[in-house]
Amino acid sequence: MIVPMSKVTIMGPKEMLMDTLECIHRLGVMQINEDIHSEIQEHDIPSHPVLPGRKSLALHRYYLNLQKKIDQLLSCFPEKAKKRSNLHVQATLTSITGIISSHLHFCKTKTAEKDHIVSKIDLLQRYDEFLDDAGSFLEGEQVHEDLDYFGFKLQDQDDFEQLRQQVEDVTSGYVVLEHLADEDDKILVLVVVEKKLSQKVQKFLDTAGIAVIESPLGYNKLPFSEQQPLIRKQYIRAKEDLALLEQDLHIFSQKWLPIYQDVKGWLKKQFAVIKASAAVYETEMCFFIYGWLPSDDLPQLIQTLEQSFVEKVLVEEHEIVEKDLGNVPTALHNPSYFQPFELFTRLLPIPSYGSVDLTPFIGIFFPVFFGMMLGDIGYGLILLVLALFLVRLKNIGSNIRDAGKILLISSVYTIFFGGLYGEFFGTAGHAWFGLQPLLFDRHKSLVPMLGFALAAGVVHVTLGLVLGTIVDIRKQRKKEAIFKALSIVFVLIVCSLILSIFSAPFSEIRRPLLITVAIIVPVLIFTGGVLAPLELLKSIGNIISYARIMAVGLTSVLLAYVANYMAGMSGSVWAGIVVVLVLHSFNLLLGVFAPTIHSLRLHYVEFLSKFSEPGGHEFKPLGSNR
Amino acid sequence: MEDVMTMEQVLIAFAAALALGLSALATAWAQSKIGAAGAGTLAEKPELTGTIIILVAIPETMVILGFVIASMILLME
Repeated sequence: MIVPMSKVTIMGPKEMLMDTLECIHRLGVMQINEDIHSEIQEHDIPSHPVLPGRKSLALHRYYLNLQKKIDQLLSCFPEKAKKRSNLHVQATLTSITGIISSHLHFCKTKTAEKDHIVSKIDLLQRYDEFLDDAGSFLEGEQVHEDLDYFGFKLQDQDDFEQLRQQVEDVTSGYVVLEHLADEDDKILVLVVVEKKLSQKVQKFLDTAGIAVIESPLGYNKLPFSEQQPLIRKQYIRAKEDLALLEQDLHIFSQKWLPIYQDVKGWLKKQFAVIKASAAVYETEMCFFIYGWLPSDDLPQLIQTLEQSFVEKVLVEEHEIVEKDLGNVPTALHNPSYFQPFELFTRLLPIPSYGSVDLTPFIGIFFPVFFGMMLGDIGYGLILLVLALFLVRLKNIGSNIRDAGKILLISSVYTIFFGGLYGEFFGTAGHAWFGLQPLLFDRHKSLVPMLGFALAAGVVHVTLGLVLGTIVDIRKQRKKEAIFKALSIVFVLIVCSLILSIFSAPFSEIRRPLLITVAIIVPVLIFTGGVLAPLELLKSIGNIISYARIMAVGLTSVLLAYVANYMAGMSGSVWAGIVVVLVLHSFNLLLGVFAPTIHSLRLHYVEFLSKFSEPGGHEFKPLGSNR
Repeated sequence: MEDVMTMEQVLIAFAAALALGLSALATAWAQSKIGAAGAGTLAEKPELTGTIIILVAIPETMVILGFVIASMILLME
């Protein structure tokens, strides 16, 4: 439901402006209207926008600098602090400003050291692995001062053969290439060249995108056999240094991270209040704030401002006139049963204030259409279990929890319609325990199912037209209201005419219905324009679109039938079980997505187009995280 | 006894298959164009998700009507 809003003006002494804004921020119920120039002109008040003074500009600059330093400090710690500090930020702001520079220097230094040690460990590890893998051809090998060594890995022998040819071309044959396959079947290569040719080889390897395993500095003059123990010793020492560094950073983060995060949150609030002051007008003595808030929250705002400012700051409510309707923000609030369905409503543009919120209607009709399409007791029970599991999970996002609740409601309708159609994993219920349909058997009664689906369409589209009529009446658009009301009559007449073809009692009223159509059509053209008949045909087309309920449902039934039939044909119990599990799982997966998409499509296109008025503005109160 | 289809039945089945198949092809072609454009739009403006879903779903009416016609052809045989 769209929450009724109130338009208010808050006025008080100039010196109480920032305190008033902080109070509004704390409450988090009021959106400040930034475009108030026309209000000021209308009330003919000699005022001007609040201009920041030298002091407030200096304060703003101070907060910006502090925030920048805090952001740099927090960037050194990838994980956020889980707990909050008990600090009163405003009282300790000066102390924090004093120590943040030293803390920032500490964190940056430690982080840079840590990054250096991590890359050193990576280099040592890669070189150690290379020495391990290349042990057989490096053993006893001496390191010559006139030679350079390049070690790297290639994918396979073909790559090596291609590379050998290219390196020999680059070095005119003055090169030695050793290679062997490692445990992972990769080719380990050692290229040995004279120092005068090493630059050419390095350039070639860089161009070819081959990553050379570098020897850590200081070891490239030692024999290979002596290098490895030293590399390992240095690796262990680097690991120990890293552990000490991480411990220092951890101790720092445990003590100071909650404090800096709280300060950052407080600064964010200050910036919001300063930004809001730009939408305020002032005279010589007073300030004026215009805004919107839910009507239910108005008494709370009045009471809070009275208590805080002892009747020096006043709140005045104004009537919302027609020209305001385009500016009123829209807030949605629904009972707990319908709240999960806001997940679907949020995909659409916000409805304008005074129109209709789609959420309750999706909450009522979506599970019905879902159940009509899937309609199987067995599938419904599986979805019910899955939904209960999702809803009870902890530490999951609100969207997943809402999806779980929607699935829970839809599974109940699936079981209900499964009972009406007599389906339990398709025709298995009938074969195992003689389950009979209470309404009709879907895969044999195509015409009744089509009629059922179209009847649902007539009800849904007619309801959409009724809502559209109500919205037009509310907005005093008489012609559009009459057009929609007559459209409802036209749709019902067309349905009656179709019924009269198939049913004898209705055939007697055929002539009066046709006469009514002849009278209505000119009135429709007068109220809806020359294109009115096309609009009516569009409504009929919308109703026919509901035949998808029958089409998608039939797909589900026939797939289940095929799954059971093929399981029976397999000839073996175990093969049959596998076939049943695979095909029914596939059908269930399809049976969740297809009805969801098609039900939503029916709401978004066929239903919503009858009454929706997008173009609303989201309600964003000052101080709320909404 | 042999169960032989007459030429008339063959043509009716063929007509139903054409009604559904051609409309399905048309829907698939339309949705492929809309889907590709929609994917590009969503990369820049994720807030248009709802609009894109609606636009992609609109051409489905063609295949639904094709299915209805195919059913009517087969049932009224």
